Amino acid sequence: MSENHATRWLSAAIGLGGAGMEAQASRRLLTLAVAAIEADEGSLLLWDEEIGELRFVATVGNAESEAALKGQRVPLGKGITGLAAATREVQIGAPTYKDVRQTERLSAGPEAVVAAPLIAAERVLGVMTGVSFRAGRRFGSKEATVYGEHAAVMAALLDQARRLAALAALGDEDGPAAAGRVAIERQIVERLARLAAERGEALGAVARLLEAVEALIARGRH
Amino acid sequence: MTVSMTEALELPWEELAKKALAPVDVAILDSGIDATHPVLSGRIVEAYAVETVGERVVALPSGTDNDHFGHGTAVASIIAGVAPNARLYDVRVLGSDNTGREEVLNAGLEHAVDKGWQVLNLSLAASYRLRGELQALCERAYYRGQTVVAARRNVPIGGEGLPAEFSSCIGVGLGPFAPPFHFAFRTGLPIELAAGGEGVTAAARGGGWTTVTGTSFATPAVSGLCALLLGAYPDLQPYEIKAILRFRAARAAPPA
Repeated sequence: MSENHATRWLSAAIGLGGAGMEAQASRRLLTLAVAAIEADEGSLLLWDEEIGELRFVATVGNAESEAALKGQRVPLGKGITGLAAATREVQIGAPTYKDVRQTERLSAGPEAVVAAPLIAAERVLGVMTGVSFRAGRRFGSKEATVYGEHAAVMAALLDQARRLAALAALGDEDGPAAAGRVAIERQIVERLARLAAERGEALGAVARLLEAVEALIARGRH
Repeated sequence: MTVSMTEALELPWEELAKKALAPVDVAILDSGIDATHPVLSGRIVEAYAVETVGERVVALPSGTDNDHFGHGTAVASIIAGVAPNARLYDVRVLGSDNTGREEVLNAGLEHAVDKGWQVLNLSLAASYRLRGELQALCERAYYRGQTVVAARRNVPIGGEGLPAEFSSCIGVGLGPFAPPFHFAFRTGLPIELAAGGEGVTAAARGGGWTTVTGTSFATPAVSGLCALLLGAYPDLQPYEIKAILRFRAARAAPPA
């Protein structure tokens, strides 16, 4: 299974609302992130390398939105979601107004949007968006930070799941060594899922810890 | 200390902005700029799109509506608002392609350095993969007397952000200050400045106005201040500009 096939498998697993650990954990994490910034809805989009676009795989907060959005493609050059992927930065969106005093609105859509890229090993896996439809609502740097930290954990979770899927396919061919690695990766995913469900406030610390471990390993290699 | 240096340190920003200022060339490496926006009318001198052509990455002359996302237009409007003497150069390094981004950014920065533009605004954080190349370019700019102003990552997981971390650049993070004249200098940290970038009114692509938040929008306010300083005192070097910003940050009690 190639890395992209693994991503597609993951995308399908989450999009179908699968009962698997990865699907459940990612939905829970997205729900937590949406609650943490008091948004109305949140979506998870994954990058599809074959078509070169982002694709909606899950939406929480509104079943109708999920039914309408699921499977839809978002080109990288589109809107705040595409901008987050292109800049690899959390981006905040607000409506456009005709005048500098912002009285006459030009743009349609939600009142506030936040989009956080999912990055693992310098690679954009997708984007997590949160929206609010409440009149006058704006997201600020506080919401950007909180959403960005949740996105960092989501990226770690999805990256592990993606690798796990690729390894599982290899595991059949490669014997006990690969199987052992698969077991370790599954343990990591399960622990992350537990944390996402039970200790949402610790996610930022987990993200930083994972970064530190990654840096330590990289330093060891040199 | 010369008279002009004393003045550069102490003259209030508002008065500095009213002086007869020399034009200052400011490059904006971003998603492009919508030069048709009324607030940017006549302010964009040249526009480029950095793209991969065959095996080369080159800066190609571009049109008046060069912005893919609206990000660069917002950034440009902030600089234009702070520094009436800024002549803006649009270098689009963020495109709709998710590949080759680092190479495009490097080529865009090299283009801006070669052009000799005095202030280079980067409201973005680059990948650490090409750290060496990026550092060399920023150093080259520094030794040529060009001031590189760059944004800290909004969520600094995995690093504060490049090129903002480099000592050859002025790094800008977010702080609870009223832009553009109030900011803090954070002694001993790689990202020296904390400036206001929360809920800033900025130009929207296609006309109109929007509200923007993030380090991306604190950074152009600082670039604008650099353009004001260079307009009044054209001989200032990047290290002097950094020192002046530090002195001014310490003197003014920055209101939130």
